[in-house]
This record gives sequence, structure tokens and C-alpha cells, in this order.
Amino acid sequence: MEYQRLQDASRNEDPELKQARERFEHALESVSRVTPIARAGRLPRLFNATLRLLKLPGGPAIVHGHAGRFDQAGVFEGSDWDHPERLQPELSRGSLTGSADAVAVEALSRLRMLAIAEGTHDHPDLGAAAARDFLQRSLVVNLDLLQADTSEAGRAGKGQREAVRQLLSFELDRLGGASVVEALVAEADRILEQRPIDVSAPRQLLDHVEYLLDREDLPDSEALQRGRQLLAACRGPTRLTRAAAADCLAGFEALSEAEREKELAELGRSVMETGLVCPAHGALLSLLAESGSDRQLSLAMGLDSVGSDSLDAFNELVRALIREAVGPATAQCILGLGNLLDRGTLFFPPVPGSLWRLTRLEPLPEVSAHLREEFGHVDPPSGRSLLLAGVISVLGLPLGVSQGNNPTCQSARAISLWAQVDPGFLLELVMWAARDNEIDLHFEGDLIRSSELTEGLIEDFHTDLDTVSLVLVPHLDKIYWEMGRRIVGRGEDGHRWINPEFHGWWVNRGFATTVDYATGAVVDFAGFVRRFHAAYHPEYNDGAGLIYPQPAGIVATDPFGNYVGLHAIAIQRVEIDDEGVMRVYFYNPNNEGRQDWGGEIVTSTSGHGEMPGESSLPFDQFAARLYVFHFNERELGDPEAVPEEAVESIASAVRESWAAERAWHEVVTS
Amino acid sequence: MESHLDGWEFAVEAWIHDGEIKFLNISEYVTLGYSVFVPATPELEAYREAITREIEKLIKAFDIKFGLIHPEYFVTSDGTMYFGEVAYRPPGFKAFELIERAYGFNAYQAMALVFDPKATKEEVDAFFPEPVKGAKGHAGCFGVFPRRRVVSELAFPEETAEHPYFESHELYPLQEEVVAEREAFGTHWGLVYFFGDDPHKMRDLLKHQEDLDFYV
Repeated sequence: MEYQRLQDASRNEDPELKQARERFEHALESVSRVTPIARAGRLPRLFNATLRLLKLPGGPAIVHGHAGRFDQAGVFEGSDWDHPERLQPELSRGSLTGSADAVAVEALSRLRMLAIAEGTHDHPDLGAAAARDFLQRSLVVNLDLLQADTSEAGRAGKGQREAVRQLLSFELDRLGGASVVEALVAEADRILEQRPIDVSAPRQLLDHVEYLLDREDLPDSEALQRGRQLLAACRGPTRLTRAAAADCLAGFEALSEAEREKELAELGRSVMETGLVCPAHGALLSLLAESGSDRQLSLAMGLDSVGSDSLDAFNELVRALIREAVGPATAQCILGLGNLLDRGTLFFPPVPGSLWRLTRLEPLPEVSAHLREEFGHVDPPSGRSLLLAGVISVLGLPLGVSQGNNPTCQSARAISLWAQVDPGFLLELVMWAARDNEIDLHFEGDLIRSSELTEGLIEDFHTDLDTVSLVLVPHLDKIYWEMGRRIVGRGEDGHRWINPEFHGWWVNRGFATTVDYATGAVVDFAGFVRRFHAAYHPEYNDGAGLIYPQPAGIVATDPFGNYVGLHAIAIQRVEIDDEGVMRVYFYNPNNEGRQDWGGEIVTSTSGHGEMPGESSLPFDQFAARLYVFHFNERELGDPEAVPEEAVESIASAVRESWAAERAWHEVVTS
Repeated sequence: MESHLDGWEFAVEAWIHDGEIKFLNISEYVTLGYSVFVPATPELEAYREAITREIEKLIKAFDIKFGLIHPEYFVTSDGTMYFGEVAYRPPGFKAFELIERAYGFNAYQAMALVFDPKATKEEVDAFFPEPVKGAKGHAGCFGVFPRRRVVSELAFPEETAEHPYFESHELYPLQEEVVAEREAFGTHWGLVYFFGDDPHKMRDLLKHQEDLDFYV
């Protein structure tokens, strides 16, 4: 049918399209005719012909019309694309923005995927629903490629870029904008419910929603309404806040007392429901800090009873913080401020004094310049405002700290842990870094000063980070590296000594690992897992709850369970969820908590009793990816009480996954 | 020696079965060592009769019954034809692939066929199309040599990529900066393939590629 339609259309088609079509068909035919040995030499012509055709109006439809033949012709043979069921939507971006050949093969693969989704092509390993899901999720992460690119990199490969644009536009039309909006909104929501400090990613997704809403009339749906709500939260959830800042303030002044309360309550609710703040909200809160009542401030931040008490007890400080930190550009920190007050953080004795000190701090010029440059705003606020806004956000959303694209999970985790349990110390470090451009910590009695160190884990510092991380991570990273250097030669996993010294006394000195430091072999896994139960599982540790969150090390694995690398996380708590499943709740500095680690181990970020920013897994699944933990030696249950079957089931999950190619040594008892 | 003579150069691929030429292709060199295309321009094809007589001399001299020969010739400005060299094997520079692109038959398969003394005359005659007229277009390729002494990356020229005749290339991106040395013919860094209707346009296009940088 499809082919027939193409034939009919070809009678009066544009000569350029006709030539491109003939060349594509000839190249495809030539690829399909030969054996695999000769195929490699013929693919470049097919790829070039594909790009040519995609660029022309009507081109993607022609390529799509042949999509059922690609598999049989061996177009993907020997490549990752030959296994569409294994393709990861997030990785498609690399291909779509990569070399010409990568773009072409990805395009052919996607149009085959579309044919599978539409039921016109069958693939033994991938069903229609999975194909549709892949395309939707992939469109979500690539939607910006639909829009004209004016960047330098974009200009350089403009022909290629146009091919991608036409391709994605075609996919969008075939899949229907509504389903993509649904996927975008769901994605934005899943990120936002983790309450990250940096909301640039969900904001970008919402930009795409806006683009799609403008592009065509879509049928109303729940997802569409939620999309509009989230967009409104960014742009202005009320009529007043959608206006320019000056008009908004004037409009607010003109309201009656009752109308003002209604307006502020709506703003406060919008922040709490979405995790997003609009710029006018920042302007309004600044105004209230000068002349508003406590009740108005409380409504505008959506405070609960603890938050209102915090405001009452530290009224002057809160108003000073707002004056110094909050404005239209930094409005997002209102979410952090509200949470900070609700959490009662100001009642930690060292915190109010430290915050007062920061309101008076003038950061070093180079620190201010760095923060302002990275803020990505035409007219950035002062370095002090940015730093303070960042501090407020971290204290309010300690589980929203992210390592960004840096290999610095340890530093991000440390910032999060301090913000949770030792905020006074964190604020001291911020002060040192901003004022003195140095941090010092002690390791086994020796002073380590970041200003005297040059080496760290970071080779190329990605600055997609919150402000506190921007200021602290370069120092922390070097100190962590130096501590690592000092334990070289001890022949054991250095986290044993480094973690307590790096974070604080509250990291337990009891330490267990199952990976032999020298050989990477798995040693006494049964003993390791028994001990983990005895230390953390309430049924085996006499119900000893976790007082301080504890750093731990996991083995990161890909969706097929293959070893990827070692990763730092923090165990927050171990509790039974609503369904009666014992779960480990943990903080993942990766800050994309939803991860598929293979073997049906998929971390959850909501729906199983997680607090915003927490990830969770059933206890045994978590244990199957754990390789290092700290424990309180004084509160250890009986490791032998753990049933053999439970241990063996976890061990077999590990043997099938990250330990598949490692030596495995059990302790032999006779 | 072929690089030291002046003249209009071309190669011939002749498929011979039972002592008879079954298909004769003339590959026109635009610049020796750089570029070639098939079928040749009408100007060179005008020599087809004369060329065929030369090939028949070779068949006789070497007593060839079956197989493929690939001789090279020069025609000087006064029209005299000089024999350069002959090989009893497929040509280089992907000429077989160009022939397949232009005529549609697989030149390796053709070679296997004519080498087979048991293949029938009918079978062989049916296999080959009519020279020149049987081609769907002209296929050419250009061998890339870096023009600069030190190069660090592949920068495929936009004008080549966008040319309607351009079909594909097999150039690889560089991993590191390289000091390029152009040693001899045949050591190009990869080929760029073209296909189109007009032999003169093809010839000029191939010539023009010599002025472009593919690596910078």
C-alpha cells in the first residue's frame, strides 16, 4: 500500500526529489543485493542518499515508505542499531548531532522504529508499543533539534541539521503532538517531583511543550492541563505575575487586602505544587520583605506551621535574606527558602549567625565574577546575592544537590550530607571558599589545604551546577584526591579512612567491602551481605534506625546489568513502604534518580514513600548493587540470623550482573 | 614510468571469453593518480575502434583465451597511441565499483564468468550490456591527498557534499595531528565518489576537487 502510494506520488514529483528518491532506492537495492562482506563498502552511498532525501520536503515520507526493507537489506547488520530493543532514547542525541553517517543510520533506524510503532513492519525483538515509547522518549530529549539552530556548531553542519529537523518533524506529525506533549510533561514532572535545585532541564522540556502548543491545536487532556500549569508556574501562574515586573508590583499595590492574600496564596501554592517559581514572584517577595506583613510572606512562600514559626522567630533574618538574595533573576530560590523555613533549619544554633554573616559577605572579586558569568543571565545579580540564593537553595533542598556532568559524586554527596546534618559546617566552608578562596580539612592529624593542591578528579569542570557546588566542588575535589593519594599503598579501599575524615565524625568507622582492592575479585560476599542486614535491616539490627545518613558505594550497572563504574551515594533510611516492602531510601548525587540497573532493578523516586530527592529500592535489590558501606559497630545485629536463601538470592543476582567477569571467593568454613 | 610521460591517459578493462572481447570499458583519467571516471567522454570514446585493435594485439601476443586484462595507454597530442603496461588482474582505484555504478552489472561476477571456460557463449553475451549506451550515467572517483603539510582534522568541503553528483566518501576523521607526506601515486587517504549524467561536467568536477582541502 505504502509503496503504491509512493509510486502514484512519484508521477509528478519535483525533479530534485525524484533524483534523490531514485538514488536512495538504487543505493538501498545495491546494499540489499550483496553479502555482508561487501556491504560495508556500499553503506556510505546509502547514508549520503538518505541525508539528501531527508532534507527535501516529502523526503522523510519516502524513506519511511521503504522502512520495512532495512532489516532484511542488512542496513544495520553488525551495529548497535541491529538490536532496536537495546537502543536507549537518551543516547540518540549523540547520533543525531554526530557525524553524517551517524545521523543517517539513526534516521533509518528511527523510521524503521516508526514503521514498527505503526504496525507496518514487524520486528522479532521489538513490539509496536515499545517502538512508540522509544520514539516519544527520544523526541523528548531531542526536541530542540526541531527548532532553527543559530549556534556556531549548528551553522557548520547546516545541511545535516536540516535533515534532522525534517526527520523529527515528520516523526512528530506521525506520532501526534499530543502524545509527545504527554511524554514531555511526564518527564518534567518526574524530574520536578525530585525537587532539584537546578531546574534548567525541566524548564527546557516546558519550552518544548510551549512550542508544541503553539505549533498545532491539540485535543485537551490531563497531561495538557498539567503542562499548562507547569508552564504557568515558570511564566507566571496569575494574571498579575504574567505582567512585567514593574506592572506586577503596581498592580499588587492597587489590590485590596483580601485580594492580595488571595494572590499570594495562589503563588505560594503554585511553588509548592510544581517546584517552579516565576520571576515576578521574586520581585513581589522582595517588596514584601520591605513592607509586607508576616502573614503575607508566609502565604507567598506557601509555609506550613513550622515555616511560619521559623519566620516568626527569625523575622529580621528572613527579611534580610530575601532582600539580599531574592529578585526576579533568583526567584527560584524561593522554593529553597520556603523549604528551609519548613524544615526548621534556622533552629540549628550555628545557622542564623552564619547566614547573617553571609548577608554581609563580599565574595572575592574572582569568585563573584565566576558566579555571575556562570549564572547565564544578561544582567546577573551581585556575587553575594547569587551565593546567598545558592546557600538558601542547598539548605532548603539538600537532596536536590547534583554533581552535574562532573565525576565528583563524592563532593556533591558531601555538600548534601552537610546541608542535612551539619549545616553550620557547610556554611563555614562556603565562607572560606568565597572569602579566602581556600578550604582546609584534616586527614589523620595532618592539615590539607586546597590552595596548596593542584590535582583533582576533575579534568574539565562542567559548570552546570548550583552556586554552592560551583564554589565548593573545585576545593573539595582536590582535598578528596589528596586524601586518596595519602592512602595509596595500604592495599585496602581508602573510603574506610577517607569518608569519616572528609565528612565528619558521624560517618561510622565500621567499614565493610566485598571487592578486593588489588584484584577486583568479590570476596566473602555472603559475609558482606549478612553484615549489611545486621547493620541496616530493622528486622536484623534490633530496630536500630539510622540517625545520620551514611555514605555508601554502589556498583553502577547499565540496563543489561553490565558493570559501568563505582558510584558514591548516601543511605538515608531503611523503612517498610506502604506495600510492606522493606526499602532502602538513598540519595544519588547523579540527581537523575530514575535509573535502570538491569536485572529488573529500577530505582524509584516516587510512589514508594520517597521524600523529594530520594531514590529507593527494595532492600535485597539495593544489596545486589552495594559494594561498600559504613556501619555502627555498637549497634550491630547477629549476621548469622539472616536466612541462607536471602543471602544466596542476592549473591546470584550479583553473579549474573556486575561480578559476572570477576573472581568470586567465598570463605570456606570446615 | 607512467608518471613521467605527457599525454592523455586512460585504462582499459577488457573481459575476454574464448579469445573474444566480450566487453571493453575505457576508464578516463582526469589526473593520473587522482581521478578516473567511466564511461569516458565522447572525445576519448571516439578512439574505441582503434583501442579495440590494440587490445586484440595484446590478446594475440599473450595468447589469452579467458579472463580480464587491464592495460594502460597514452594518446599523445598527434593521436599516436602508446602502450603503457598491462595487468592480468582487476584494476585499482575502485574502477570495478565505478563500472558497476555506471552499468549496473557486478564486474567481479563478470570476471568470474569469463574466466570460466565452461560458461556458454550465450550466457556471456547475455551478461554484458552495450558499452556506453548501456550506462545509466557516469561514475567517477577522486583520491584525496592532504594538500597541507600538517593536518589535524577532516573538513569535508561543503561544496562537494552539496554537489548533486556527490554520492559518498570513505575518508576517515583523524585522531591526532598528522604530518602528511605525499609519497607516491596510489597512497591516497580515501576516495570520494560521484555519479551524474554529463561526462564533461564529471571531468571538470573531478579536476576541481584537486583545488579543495579535505583535511586541514
